[in-house]
Amino acid sequence: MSRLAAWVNPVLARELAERMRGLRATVMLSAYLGVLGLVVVLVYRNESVTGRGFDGSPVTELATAGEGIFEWTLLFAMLLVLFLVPGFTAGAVAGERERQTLVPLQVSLLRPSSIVLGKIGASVAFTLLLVLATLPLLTVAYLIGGVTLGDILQGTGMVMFTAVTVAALSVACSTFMRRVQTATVLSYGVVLLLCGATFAAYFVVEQIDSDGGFEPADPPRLILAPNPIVALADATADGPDTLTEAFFAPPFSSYGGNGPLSGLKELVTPDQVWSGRLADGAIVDFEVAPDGDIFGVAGRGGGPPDQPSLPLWAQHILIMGALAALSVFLSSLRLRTPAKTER
Amino acid sequence: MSAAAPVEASGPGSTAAVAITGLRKRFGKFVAVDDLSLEVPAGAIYGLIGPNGAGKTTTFAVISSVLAPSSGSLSVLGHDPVASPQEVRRVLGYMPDSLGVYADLDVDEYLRFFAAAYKIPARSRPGLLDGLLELVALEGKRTARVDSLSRGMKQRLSLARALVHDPEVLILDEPASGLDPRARSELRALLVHLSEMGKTIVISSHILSEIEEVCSHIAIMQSGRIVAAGDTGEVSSLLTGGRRLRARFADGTVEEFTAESAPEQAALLRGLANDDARSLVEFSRVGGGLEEIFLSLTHGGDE
Repeated sequence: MSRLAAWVNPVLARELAERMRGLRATVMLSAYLGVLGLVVVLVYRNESVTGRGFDGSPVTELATAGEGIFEWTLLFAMLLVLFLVPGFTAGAVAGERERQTLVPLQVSLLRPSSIVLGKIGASVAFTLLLVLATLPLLTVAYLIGGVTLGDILQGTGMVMFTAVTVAALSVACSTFMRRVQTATVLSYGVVLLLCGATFAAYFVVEQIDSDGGFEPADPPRLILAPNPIVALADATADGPDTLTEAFFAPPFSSYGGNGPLSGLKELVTPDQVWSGRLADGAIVDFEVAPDGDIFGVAGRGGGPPDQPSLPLWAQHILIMGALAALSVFLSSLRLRTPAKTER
Repeated sequence: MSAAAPVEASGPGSTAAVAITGLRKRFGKFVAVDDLSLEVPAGAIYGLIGPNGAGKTTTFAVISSVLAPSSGSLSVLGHDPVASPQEVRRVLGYMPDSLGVYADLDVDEYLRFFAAAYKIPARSRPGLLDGLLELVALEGKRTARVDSLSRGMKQRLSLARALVHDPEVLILDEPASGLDPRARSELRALLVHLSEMGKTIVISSHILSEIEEVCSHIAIMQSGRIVAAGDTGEVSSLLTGGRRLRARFADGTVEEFTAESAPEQAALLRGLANDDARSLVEFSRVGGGLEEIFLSLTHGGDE
């Protein structure tokens, strides 16, 4: 700890020394990788269906398996972050208060923001270690095919971003609640709100907006922007960029349907209307589903669809980044002394 | 005996390490500290005694920049804990009444953490820790887990933590609480040693013998107010109308005397010891100790 503490935030160094002590961290990491390895094997066995090629020889759709492994591993890592980070973080400040170690910290020369950031860093550090440990498994998907290096970086980055934002929100819960138990319940409540309530709200609005099925429902996707799982799906699952891509996509294309994230993206992405000019010069509108399925609709079109100014994952980063920053600010304010009452 | 008016120990021109004027601290409708004024001379061991709920811990929390006062002014070596809390923290070491230690760290890691928290340069920490552990007699426990230490050792470790940045003023809230007589005696010796090093120590306790033995000054608190303050002798004399002393002689006779001050008491003792007519076998104080003063001023117990 001593060498580390000289360079990094003292709170972070101390927390890491405490957390990484003993066998707990090693056992946890091993168990995590064991389970994830099992997921990879199962997905591989399930996805790499061997069919018959044109000449009757067995053909294994490895690209499909690669994408499946990628999406399942990433989803598992995201769920892990959403499950572990509140548990690791909720006791951060409330625990210091319960152990009666907060006052000695407050009267030291550490600034409240250093305490808060150290706590967030400590909570995130171990989770990030787990996420980084999944990289070799994601590389398996890359080697099999169907996944680009960019997909892996984007997906991993999204999971890490979620770890940081959820940690910031949980530290805020921990700062404002006096007891660890209350802070833990509140932190999981916040995660449930982000993941479950946004979904529920989106589908409720969709039902209201569906107009009896005569017109396709178009609920505001901003409702889903705070949802980290949807944002991950949006960032990683591919869709066709052009009508030609949609038209000429191979039967086992990577446009959705091969993993849980693609399925999720399809579920929450409304069909788009794209226009194409046929060989005889006629312009036809096509309804293109997120997975690339095309439904032809005759009529004149107006060119490519209006794209939202920001993709959903970027909206997620902006909203959650702002919420995390606000959490750090409010937590620091709460820990500032001298205060009217002991905090 | 009714409560006496506060007696200030420091006269004009004295250098106060801690100066408090008209301090008032409210929590909602409850007034924890009410119009408290106090001056702690530099280099003093200043005891703040009072029953539970008298306002000692709140007063310490305000001095240590943990709590903001509702009104009044205070300074620690010229720094205002509200306006410049960081400056106060540089010169003040605070040991709260709760032990609050990180059980999973060892003694060395614990002190290194606080050395880092007080921004002690990394290269200075090994020497600093050696000195601190020697001071609090925990050299042999350097690699011991904090949770394996006895209560007395944890108290000494907390004291070492408060000393890690070499503060000039130490605020110790009930440091002897829960200690056995031996540990208490060791703590007293340590406080005297720290005082000899030039530290100003403000200590609270309801264990009066501890205050009486080591403090140069005391203040007695009741219901958030100071009811008596000054150097130990002054307070004792003021509240008892002089020291009542008892002398027992070899022929079995016992006589009682009154001395207004410590020098007068010493002169009396010299006179009796040099009296060729009678042989003095015992010379002791009769009542009038802090225990008696404390009980009389605080109506004998908790609020």
